Amino acid sequence: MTKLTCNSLTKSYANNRVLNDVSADIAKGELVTLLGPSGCGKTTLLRAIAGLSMADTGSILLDGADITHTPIHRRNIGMVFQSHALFPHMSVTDNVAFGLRMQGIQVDERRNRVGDALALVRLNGFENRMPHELSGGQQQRVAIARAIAINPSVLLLDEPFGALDRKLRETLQVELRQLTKNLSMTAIFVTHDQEEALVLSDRIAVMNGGVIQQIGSPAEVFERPANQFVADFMGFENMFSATVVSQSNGSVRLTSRGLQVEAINDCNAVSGEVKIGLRSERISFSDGSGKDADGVNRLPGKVAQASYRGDRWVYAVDTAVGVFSVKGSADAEAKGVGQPVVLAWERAAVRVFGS
Amino acid sequence: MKTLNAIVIVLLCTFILAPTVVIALTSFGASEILEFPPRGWTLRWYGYAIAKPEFQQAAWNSLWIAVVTMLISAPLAVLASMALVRGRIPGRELIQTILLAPLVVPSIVIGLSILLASARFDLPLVEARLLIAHVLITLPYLVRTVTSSLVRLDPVAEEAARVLGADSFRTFWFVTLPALRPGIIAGMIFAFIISFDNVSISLFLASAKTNTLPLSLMSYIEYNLDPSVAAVSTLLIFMALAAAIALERLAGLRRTLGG
Repeated sequence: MTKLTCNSLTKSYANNRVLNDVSADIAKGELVTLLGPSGCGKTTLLRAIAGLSMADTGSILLDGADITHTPIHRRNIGMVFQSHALFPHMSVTDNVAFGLRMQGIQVDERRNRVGDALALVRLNGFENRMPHELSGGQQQRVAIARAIAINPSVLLLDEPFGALDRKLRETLQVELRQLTKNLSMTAIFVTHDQEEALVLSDRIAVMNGGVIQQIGSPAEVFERPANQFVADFMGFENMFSATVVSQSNGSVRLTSRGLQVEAINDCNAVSGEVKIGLRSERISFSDGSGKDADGVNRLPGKVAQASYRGDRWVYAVDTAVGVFSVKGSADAEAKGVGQPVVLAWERAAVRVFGS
Repeated sequence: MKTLNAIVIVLLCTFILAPTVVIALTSFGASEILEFPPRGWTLRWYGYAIAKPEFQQAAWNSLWIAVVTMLISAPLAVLASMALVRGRIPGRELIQTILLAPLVVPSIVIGLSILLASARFDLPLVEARLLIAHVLITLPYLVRTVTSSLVRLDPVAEEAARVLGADSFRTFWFVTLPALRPGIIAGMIFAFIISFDNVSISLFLASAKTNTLPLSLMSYIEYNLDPSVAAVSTLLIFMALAAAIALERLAGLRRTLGG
């Protein structure tokens, strides 16, 4: 069941088009991430849904009702901001109760619902603290409690964990996902961090230049990016120009600077000049014994740089095609700079993008 | 180096506090004329000054003028700050400069010009022109303190209130105004002191009916040199001191809120 619909939303600041004909349907209980670099329009889209900024054209439907011109304070939306935006002069209780107070809910019921909301973010016992007496993670939890206390139609989160350290961020991501699932709450989460998007989302909408480039499940977006931008953003470190030689039955043969590459093409027909993308963890070092599986692409090269990342090594390997980024196990013996190696990867690892 | 620092600090404090100390000591002097150091001690000048009808009337005038001035200035300053900080108005810088101008224009000029203008436009009440002038010179202080409080408030907090169902008035009332409170109170205390102590403007605009305490002290001292003037001054100093302590407390409070 569709909860929220965005219909051809367009918005420009001066001559800069920040939303360009954006349409999306979000189902009830779904958690959708808007993922993209800064300036891609993700925050503008979120603010348009909240009513904090007005789209130039297009419409927004919430529960089937057109809310495009509904004032902010009548939309019944929960929102969490990057700077927690708690009211500095109010206690935790008063912050969380604020939305209920605005709705005219009586003191007794208010107290219960504030208690429930604080329990959901595991902050019982903090009722009388002031915001400045809380840690960054606790402040953001209060902000979440404040947003969900009003039982909003949709919960909007604008990079809420951006200012927190990594470990705390990961904890809160898991908590937030559980929370929204338990409450069957529809949520839209803005982030520029692809890992965060993968952990949290039912679906990810990758945005760039005011346009949704691709919307799909985390696995879809991660494994089968729709275009070069999405691939780049989802961590396809190795991207090369190539020419299509032939294609048949879902498989493509290409050449890139003399290298023959085989790839699986499961989406669109491609021809002529294209880009091929390859994720670093899908490349392995071949022992060169020739016992590799059929359909394996192989490429000799030389290690140009090696950097240790704790759980793995990351190598830059110089080849005839270009510099490849390759991950190596931290257990395996480290390869020295200048060492000749042979890279290998499966057909399925190669993505082809029309340019 | 440390001793040199200490010496400089002591000298500086002496320099700042000396006039106050001299006046306070003189006010306890037993003789009929102001003298320093006094040769005997008494409290009778306090009783004499407090009982004096012209001082009483003048103190009352100063008090109500200062209170009304601060009560008029404060809401004006809040509105001006909202417009200057949150509003998108053309010529914002210019308006801000104009609002703060009374700080740099000699107040004697302001007094004279309001006197001339009120004569020209037949301003009926002498109280009205005095209040206008006092609001004018106190407004910059309030605008400054309120603006600095408003700048500290994350505008996102106001957006959060809007999303949570507060219309713009309730957002202002429940979120913006409480955040401005330290600035408003600090500014009001400033305004009170500035208005209460003012001589140069009141000199032009006050009448016999609205004679203020500083003016009354000035005219008294022209013909009398007894220590009652020092006694009143000492009382004024302690009042200002109390206000300054309150101000410091509030400034401290504001830091906590900002952190």
